[in-house]
Amino acid sequence: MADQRNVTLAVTGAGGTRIARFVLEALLNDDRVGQVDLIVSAAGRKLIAHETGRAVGEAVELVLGGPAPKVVSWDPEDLAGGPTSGSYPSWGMLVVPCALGVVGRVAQGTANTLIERAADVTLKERRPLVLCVRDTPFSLIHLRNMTQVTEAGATVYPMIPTFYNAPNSVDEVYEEFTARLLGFIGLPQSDYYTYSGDKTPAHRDRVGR
Amino acid sequence: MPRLIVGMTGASGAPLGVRLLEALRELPDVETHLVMSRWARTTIELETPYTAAEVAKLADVTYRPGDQAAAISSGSFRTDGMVIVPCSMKTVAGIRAGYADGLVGRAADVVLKERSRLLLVPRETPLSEVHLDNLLALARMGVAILPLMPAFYNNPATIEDILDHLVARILDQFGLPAPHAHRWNGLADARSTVGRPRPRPPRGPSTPGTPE
Repeated sequence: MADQRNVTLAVTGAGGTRIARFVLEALLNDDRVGQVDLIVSAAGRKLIAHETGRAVGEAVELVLGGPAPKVVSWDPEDLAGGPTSGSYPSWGMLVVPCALGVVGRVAQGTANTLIERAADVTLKERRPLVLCVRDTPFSLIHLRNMTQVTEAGATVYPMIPTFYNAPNSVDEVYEEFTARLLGFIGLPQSDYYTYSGDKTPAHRDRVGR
Repeated sequence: MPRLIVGMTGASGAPLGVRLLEALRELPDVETHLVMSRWARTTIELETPYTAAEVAKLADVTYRPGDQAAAISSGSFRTDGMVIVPCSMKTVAGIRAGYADGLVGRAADVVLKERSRLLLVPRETPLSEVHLDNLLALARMGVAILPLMPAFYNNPATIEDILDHLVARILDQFGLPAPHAHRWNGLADARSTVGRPRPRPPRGPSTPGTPE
């Protein structure tokens, strides 16, 4: 399909790596996506292993539990990898979850790893860069760095759940976040909750009043 | 006796505000002063099994949102600070600009001028440049910004686990005891506690639970 896009997905060492699995699965199941360039940081690998109870292994097996033909895995230390160059085809980049240290390094243009370099390239090429930060509280440094990357064209997209959809489980929180995130990058999903004011029947059903 | 002002505004995330009030009620030494904005009341009824009147009963004192003559409008009424949970971006903007509209905004204004602790729990994503600029300006003034972001390192099994963890982090900000907090203590420790039943904070017998 000629109009399929390549999406770069980076997974870094912040809590919430399970959402990375939801996002990767959604990208792979979407016909509008031809390829996912996956980069998992060393800290990200350790956290996924912890959060999934698996041994640290190959990135794609770690995130998904098995190989996937649409995924191209890159070593985060490989500063010669495809995503280091703006000539490498990419629609844009998601970082899920995004550690605040990564935001700081992106804000400063410090391209020490392939993830930071790919983010740097995404900004210089004026492509969408979405940073799903996971940390609370935010320090002054975090907020300053997040403001700076936003000024440079990135979107700071904190991993904050919605409650107006009255989620019943943690997985519903992940699913909703994933669907909203994909919609935000122009891949609208059919199965997410649309807020429609306080008379919505979904609310009555879910809250049970 | 610690005295804490709790503001609730019209952002999504009302279940966390309710859960915080329940937890504060378990601390007999803490006196809570509650203000719910007009849209907080709507959000409470949309997102929780409570009515706004039921939530009001969880606090020691509740004020009307337009009552600019309330005790917490004056710095002479001593408090240990204020938490706004959930905190809308409109409220953030109002506090940043010093536009003390309504009692939530005025109480926050007073807390700032008295150099007391102000904690905002915003629930918004993504964040625009306007949002970030306002939050940054407030952080520069010493305001603590604790976005309503779940932790995942403790493998939350339910929405309630997510809310309880955030409540503990809010109590931490005011030096209040959070004996049921599940704290990160390195990977080795986390591995050894995976699958172990987690301690649950008690709930008041007369208060319905937040939806699971």
